[in-house]
Amino acid sequence: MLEAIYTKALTELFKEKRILLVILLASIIMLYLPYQIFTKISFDEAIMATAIDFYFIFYSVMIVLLLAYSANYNLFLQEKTTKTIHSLLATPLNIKTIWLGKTLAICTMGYILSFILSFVFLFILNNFIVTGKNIYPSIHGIISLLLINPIICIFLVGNIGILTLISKDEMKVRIGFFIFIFASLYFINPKKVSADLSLFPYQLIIVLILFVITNISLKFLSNEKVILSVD
Amino acid sequence: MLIFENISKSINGKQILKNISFIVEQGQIFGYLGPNGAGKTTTIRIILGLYEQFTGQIKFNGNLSIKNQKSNIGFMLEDDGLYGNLTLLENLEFYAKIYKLDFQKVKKITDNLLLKFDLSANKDNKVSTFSHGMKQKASFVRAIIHDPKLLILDEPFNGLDPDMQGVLRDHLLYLLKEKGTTIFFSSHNLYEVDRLCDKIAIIKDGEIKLEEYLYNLKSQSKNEDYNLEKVYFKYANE
Repeated sequence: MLEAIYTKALTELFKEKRILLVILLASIIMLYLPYQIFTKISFDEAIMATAIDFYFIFYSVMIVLLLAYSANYNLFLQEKTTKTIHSLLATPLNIKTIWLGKTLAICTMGYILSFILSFVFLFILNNFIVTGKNIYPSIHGIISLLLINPIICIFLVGNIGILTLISKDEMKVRIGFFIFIFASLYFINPKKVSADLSLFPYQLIIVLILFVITNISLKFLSNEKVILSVD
Repeated sequence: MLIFENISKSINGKQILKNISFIVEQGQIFGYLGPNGAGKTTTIRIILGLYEQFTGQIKFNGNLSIKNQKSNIGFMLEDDGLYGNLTLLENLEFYAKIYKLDFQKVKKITDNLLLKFDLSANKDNKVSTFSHGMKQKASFVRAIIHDPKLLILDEPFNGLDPDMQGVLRDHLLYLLKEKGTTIFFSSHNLYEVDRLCDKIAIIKDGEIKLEEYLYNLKSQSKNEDYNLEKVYFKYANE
């Protein structure tokens, strides 16, 4: 049953023109912004070597969140506004399966985009900014991109999904999410945070905190809460 | 058999259902009547597991947990529950997946149903282009795609033209006689209730005012002309 929700959600996202527009915008922002930030600091090879790690560790998450901001509307909110959620919940599906299927669909699409953009940035870095010597991401950067960030994304997107499902005032959730994304983009920059191995324990702590928050949020997620938030 | 035993439900501090009890027997059509705001939708939501916090108990086929038996329940709610951005066939396929059905296997049955309800020509059209009546019919087809043992219908005749009301009525009787499906339906259409139901319950202000077999009501009023409307108004205005 999870597969039914996941497949439908993913197909819906790929078919939605608005999402394709968001992908285009997110791609422009997430390639132009890091380029601007790093070239402003220095064209130094050592700085540029950290740029790709920075991208793999931080911006890859931001890309998923930018997409999730729009996809959240399609997948979670629309079920409520069209009241199709009533019918879904009357089937053998439970709200947690619906939530998980949709969260995974958003993260899958977001992560495909994130992967592509991360490697496009690596390509740009090596071919247009630093010439002569190839720059590669560190092991830590690769582990973050492949393992840690997907978990962080699932928890973040999942919590936004839960809030959208149980909230009566979705506008507050959207504004809060919007502020969170842009505050993160502003505060996480290479002048303030260094993307090296010292970050690793912090990443694990973040994963742990998000795990606990998600578990607590899931306790509030019930069929009844969702139905009452619609009426 | 569906047994509702002393069910009470409050929402935001307001008591919507007050200790209601009724029995819907196996292979019976049960009409659930009442004015707007009486508690009909709340009752249906409790049966379907949309509301989980209530006092009292529900038994379905001797089992206390409705949750585990939802695959045996078909439903048609106030809102059609169909996705406007999908075609009718895609909607049915999606629900078939939820009920773990092989859509290719049920396709023949589905095609017959679509033909019967005059939806064949529109099966590849997006549901958002459908009229209210078409959505209502499509919603009914979706409700029975998995051959449920219990069918919960909220105002099933709403928006249907007289021809289609007849087709729906005949199909409900077919399900009852050929498949032994238990049917619970709420309606304001007393004419259809009178024609179809074995038993009715009238709810008002969250309380069951009457639960009776229609043949008893008919035999009780043999000295005067039997009229369900009179019975309804007597209890609904009590």
